Amino acid sequence: MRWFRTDLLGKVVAPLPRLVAALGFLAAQAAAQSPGTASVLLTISLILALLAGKKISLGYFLILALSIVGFSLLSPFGKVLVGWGPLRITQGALEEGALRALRLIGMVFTSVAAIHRDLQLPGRLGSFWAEVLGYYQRLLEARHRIRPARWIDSLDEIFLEVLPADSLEEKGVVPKLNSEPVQNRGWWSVPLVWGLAAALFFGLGQ
Amino acid sequence: MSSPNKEIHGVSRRRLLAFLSAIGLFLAAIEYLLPKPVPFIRLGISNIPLVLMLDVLRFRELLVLAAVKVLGQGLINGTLVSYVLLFSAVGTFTALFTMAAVRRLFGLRLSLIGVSLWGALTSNLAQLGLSVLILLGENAWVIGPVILGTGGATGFLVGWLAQMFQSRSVWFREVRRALVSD
Repeated sequence: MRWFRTDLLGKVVAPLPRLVAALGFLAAQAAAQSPGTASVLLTISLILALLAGKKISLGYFLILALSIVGFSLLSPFGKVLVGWGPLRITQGALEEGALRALRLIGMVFTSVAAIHRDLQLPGRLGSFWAEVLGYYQRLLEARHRIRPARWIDSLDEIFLEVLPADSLEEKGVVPKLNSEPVQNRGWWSVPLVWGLAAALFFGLGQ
Repeated sequence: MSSPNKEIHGVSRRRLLAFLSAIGLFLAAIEYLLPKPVPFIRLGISNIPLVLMLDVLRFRELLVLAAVKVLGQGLINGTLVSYVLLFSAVGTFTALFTMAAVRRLFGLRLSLIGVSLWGALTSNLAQLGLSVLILLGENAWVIGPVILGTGGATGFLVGWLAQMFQSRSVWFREVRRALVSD
C-alpha cells in the first residue's frame, strides 16, 4: 500500500496554502463545544493526515484519549451513569473529557496534515532553516554508519566529516534561500476548507 | 566582542548553530521512531546538544538552538500548530533557563548529569502545570510522582550521554577549542 505513505495532498496543494487552509479548520476544532461536532472534525482531520502520507499511531492516540477522559472522570459532576462503590462515572465528566480529547487529538491530526517540511519560512529564519535542513539531510544519509557499540567514535567520524566543511552550499547539499520559486498551487483549498469547517461547525451546532 | 558570524576554523558560528540544530532534529527523529508506550513520557535525547553546548555557546545562541529545536520538531513531526508545540516550548525553555542558572550558580562543581537532572525535573514540572491548565485538569497532579520519576531517569540518561560525548569526542574538543579561543 505505497499510496498510504505518499503525500497525496502535496500533489495538489503547496505547503503555504495548505497551512493557511488548515488554520480555519483548527479554529473550528478549538471552538467545538459538542463531542459530536468534535468527532466529525477529528475524523476529517485524520483522513487528511492519512492523505498527507503521515504515519498515525492510533494506539498512542487511543491511550492519550483514554487518559484525558480518565482524568476528567476523577472530578465527577452531572448525572451518575454507573457507580461501583465510591467510583462514579458521571455524564458531565465523561462528556467534558471526551470533548477535550477529541478536540486536542483532532488538532494534532490537522497540524500533522497541514505542516509540510518544505514550508518556506520568511527572511533570515527561512535561510537559517534551509541550512539546518541541509545538515539534517546529511546526518540522515549517514545514519547507517552509527554503530551502537562505538556510538561516540562513529558519531565523531560523521560530525568531523560534515562540519567543518569548506562549502556545503557549493556542493549543493545545503539548499540556498529562495533558490526555487515559492510554489503557489492549491490556494483554492483555503476557501474550501474554511467553508467546510464553518459549515460543519455551525451546521452541527458547534 | 566578536562578530556573531565570525569564522572559526573556516566555519561560521551561524553554520555551527545550524549544524547543532540539525543534530537536535536528528536525535528528535530517532526518538520519534522509538515506541512510546505512555503518551506523557519522552526520552528527551534531542536536548543533548543544549546540555553539551551549555558552557560553549553564548546564551543567546542557546536560545536560538532551543527555538530551532522546538520549531523544527514541530515542522518535522507536523505538530507545529498544535498543543504539542506549546508543551515542547515550555519544557525546552524551562530546562534551558534552569540549566543555565544552575551552571552559573554551581559552576563546574555540578556535572552535566546534575545540570541535566535539574533541567529535566523543572521541565517536567512546567509541563505538568501546563497539562493541569489545558489537558488533564486539576487531577493531573496525581501523575506528578510518575512524571517526575521518569523525568529524573531520562534527565540522568541525557546528562550521562552528554558527559560521555563531551569527554571522548574529538569533534567536540575541536569545536570547544575554536569557540573558547574566539
